[in-house]
Amino acid sequence: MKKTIFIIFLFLQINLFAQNTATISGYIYDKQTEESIIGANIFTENFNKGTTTNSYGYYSFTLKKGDYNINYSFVGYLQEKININLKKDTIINIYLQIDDNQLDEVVVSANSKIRTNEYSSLQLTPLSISRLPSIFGENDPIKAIQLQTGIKTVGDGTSGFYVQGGNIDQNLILIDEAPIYNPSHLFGLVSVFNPDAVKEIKFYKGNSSAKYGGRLSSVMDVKMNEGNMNKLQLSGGVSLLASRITLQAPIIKNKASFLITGRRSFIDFFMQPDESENIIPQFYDINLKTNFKINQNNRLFLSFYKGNDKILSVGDFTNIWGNQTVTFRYNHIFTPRIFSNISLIYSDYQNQLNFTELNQNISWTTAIKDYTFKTDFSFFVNSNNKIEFGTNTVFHNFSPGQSNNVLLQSISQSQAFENAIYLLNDINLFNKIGINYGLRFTVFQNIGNATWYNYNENFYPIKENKNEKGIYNTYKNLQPRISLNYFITNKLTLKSAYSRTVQYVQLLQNNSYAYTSLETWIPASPNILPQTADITSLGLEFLHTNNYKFSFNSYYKIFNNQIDYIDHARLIGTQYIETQIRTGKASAYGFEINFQKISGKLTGNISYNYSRIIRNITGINNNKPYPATYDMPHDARISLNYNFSKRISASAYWIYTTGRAYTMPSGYFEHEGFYVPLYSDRNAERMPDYHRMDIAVNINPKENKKFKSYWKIGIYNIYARQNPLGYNFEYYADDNSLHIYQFNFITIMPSISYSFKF
Amino acid sequence: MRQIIKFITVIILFLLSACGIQEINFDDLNISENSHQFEIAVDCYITTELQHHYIKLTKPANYPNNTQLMPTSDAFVQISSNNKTYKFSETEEAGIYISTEVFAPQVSEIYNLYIKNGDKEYFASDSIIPVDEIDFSKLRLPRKNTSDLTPGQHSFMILKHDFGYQKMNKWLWLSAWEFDSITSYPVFASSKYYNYTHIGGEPQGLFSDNNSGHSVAGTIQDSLKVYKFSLSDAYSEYLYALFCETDWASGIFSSISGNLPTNISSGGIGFFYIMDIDYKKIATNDLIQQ
Repeated sequence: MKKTIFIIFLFLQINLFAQNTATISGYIYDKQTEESIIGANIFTENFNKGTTTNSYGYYSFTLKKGDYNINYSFVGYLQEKININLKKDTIINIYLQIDDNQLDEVVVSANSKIRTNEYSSLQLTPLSISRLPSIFGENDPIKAIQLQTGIKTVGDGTSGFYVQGGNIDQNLILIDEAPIYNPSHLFGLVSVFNPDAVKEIKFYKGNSSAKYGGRLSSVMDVKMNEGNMNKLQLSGGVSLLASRITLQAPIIKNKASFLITGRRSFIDFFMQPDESENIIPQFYDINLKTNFKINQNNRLFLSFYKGNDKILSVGDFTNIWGNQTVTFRYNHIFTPRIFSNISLIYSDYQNQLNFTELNQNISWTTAIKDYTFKTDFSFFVNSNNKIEFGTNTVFHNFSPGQSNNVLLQSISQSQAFENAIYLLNDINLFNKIGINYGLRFTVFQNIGNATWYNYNENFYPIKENKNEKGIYNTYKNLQPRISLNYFITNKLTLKSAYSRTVQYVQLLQNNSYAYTSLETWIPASPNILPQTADITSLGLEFLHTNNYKFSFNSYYKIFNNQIDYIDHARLIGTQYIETQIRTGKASAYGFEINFQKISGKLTGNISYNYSRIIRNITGINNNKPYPATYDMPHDARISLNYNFSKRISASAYWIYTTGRAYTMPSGYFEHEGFYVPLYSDRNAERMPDYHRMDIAVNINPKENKKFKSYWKIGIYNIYARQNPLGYNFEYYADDNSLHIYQFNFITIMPSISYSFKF
Repeated sequence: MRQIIKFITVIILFLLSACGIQEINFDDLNISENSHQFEIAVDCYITTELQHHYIKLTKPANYPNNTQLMPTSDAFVQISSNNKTYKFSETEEAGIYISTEVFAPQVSEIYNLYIKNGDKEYFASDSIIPVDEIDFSKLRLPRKNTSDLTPGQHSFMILKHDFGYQKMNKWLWLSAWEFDSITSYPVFASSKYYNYTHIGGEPQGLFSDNNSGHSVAGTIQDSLKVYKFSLSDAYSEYLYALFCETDWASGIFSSISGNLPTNISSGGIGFFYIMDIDYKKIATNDLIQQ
């Protein structure tokens, strides 16, 4: 296999590029820790060409033989320059030094001279996240994503987010390539990502390349730190919600290292559930990573994540949930121009409710386990051309709902294979046009022991079907992706993209507040067709002297087989789960205008986003179109950061959105003594407009101190806006009066957090 | 240090709990005048007993202009089955209609409702399914509650909802001195005394803390009166949706809001239903032994 791939690439190289060229390749590392740097820039000034490092810090840059001045740079690091007389393939590993002066004047964007042909991607680092205001003082990657233009949430303090009309289950969330099926701790107040373990986050909004698949709307690709290769390093911190500690050190200096982080909430140490606080939540998570550089061409990585939440209560109710992932990766460089990665991935999400009813112990467990084998190959043809291809095979094991008691009916367990192959090409033509195009082909197969039902037109089961082994249902889909950029001038780019995405697993979550932790994941099956989305985007980007950036982006997206729930859907304890959902079409459209100041003492951005998401599903809302609950058309945001000095910076964030669509009672009637609400259409009313302002001050350590202390002081929702989560209508027969109660999240929340490193 | 962290913890919990609930005015909601103006709601008390039967008609409250329920008077109401027609006339209490004759609907028959209110006509139909005989040995509804009792008296808490049964049924438990018989029971005014047994476990109900029920009491020589009602499949679905919107609306598994299903035509709401009924007495002493 390895030989065949090598020969194919060799053939391509000989035939297509057997000219007078040579390749510079290597890794770019942080000088202090020897961590590889993802997305670092490599740029030839005299040739005006550039590239970036891949997810493993590797770069390959093929040029005509000759003399070059090459700059290596990354945000927050001192630039490194080398002069080279390129005569043959050359390996150059670069070690970048952190730029302490950049703490005074910030650059928040990568090198503008390097053009990317991906339509819409965003890179976040722990440093950029730490500058943002945060709830409870927790620097949180998901909360940072939620602050970005066009990303919607339906309430404060949740970890779910909605991208360009996509539901929360349509975001692919990865930690070192392993999918995370529930990114929430504490019902969403904190995400599963420990900021000390995170190295980099790449976020694809809408159009993603053919490399990614499985979800319709976005990709959040989180990479964990690898561990300090040079010296032992201890860091940690404490916020209002949790404390954390990280240890990283070389195992063999400059060859192998490890990182271990732990985080735990501490409320339960000091309080137990009682009459006044009848529920106390707790959580912990652990990240472990180790890596081994066998030589320049071979490297191994092993990543592990485990997180767990537990709800303690005064009664006998407990709710335990958590994700566990393991990723083993092997990087191999065939030639300086051919990079490969092979991954073995395990992901496990479980959620269990335990309670007592009628003197019986009852448990309800939902789970999904994935076993993945993945290969990725990159062929750096030349400085204008990169070919990537790979395969992805996932074995899903679904347990949508298992009960230990006849009170709740279990939902049939099932298994499926999700296979994918992809091929993409990123190419620049005539110095004016950039294209990233590709194709992803997926085959989804329901297999193994399973039971499913045929239903009549009224969704009553009329026939039971059983399969003992082998494949009993198959879906195949071609997913073309293309992103086309036209560089009108060096500063002005016209962008366009089209992509088709397919999703074979879906989340059923029966709560309008999005705070429940009880996720049920079900596969596409004979009764549930895979969801698809066709996304067309058009945009414009203007960069002014590396200081200001203006962008405009518009999109139109059509969803097929979009899922929604019938009125009063039963999603727990229901054997015939398919009868509780309906599928149909949805369309999302909108535009975003973003103005960014990307360098200097004052940085920030001002944005406006208009968006709609309208569903049209037979069997819901009397078959009439209706907005999704996260339809919030107008969205304006201002985010500012000011660096007073190297040590002190302040940030402010203001958001305004139209109130979310909501099914509000439009009247009531009486039946058997109950006062029953009446509704007009689904999500026909709107909550009051949402707005709030957060501020934060960051205090960094003095220079050259060995023990570094970091403080973050902030206030969430500083002007105490009462943004409603929901309403409760109560009719009191005694005095014939109607009372309305509004549920709010936090009105104002001061926070302080402390971190250290030495 | 431990005290400081405890102090911070208390502050967080205080802030989290302080973000809870506040009462607001109706006008704050800015509810638009919706296109649905519900004209009539139907409730009934019709059983297989040989007696007069009742139908209640109301005009629902339609926000924002109308926040009060109004009785629907002067309507023409009748039910029919197998070429027999039973007319209803309005009682002294506006909106409540009583059959003009005593009759006993038959199990397995289909009954049709016809209402004419002004120019609008409404139709509905329901079939009666037989009720299974009351079997106290299979019933968990009564829960013993001996607090605050004088010597010799016993009180039983009858939960509003109980789970894990083969069929969904409606129940009425009455103390010996409450009402001489169900025919004199004020059927619409006191429906809060009804209890319900459910098929399997309904998660919204299991996790709801709104399951207070009511108490029945008696001395050891007394008997309790127990009525059991059959519910058609359609009416069972209606009641499930009704509980999702009322008793179970605020649980952690609260469901997707929506209007209740109905069998009333022409935009009417509520449900027309007829129930088979079984009646038994149980000695307080026997209940204590269970």
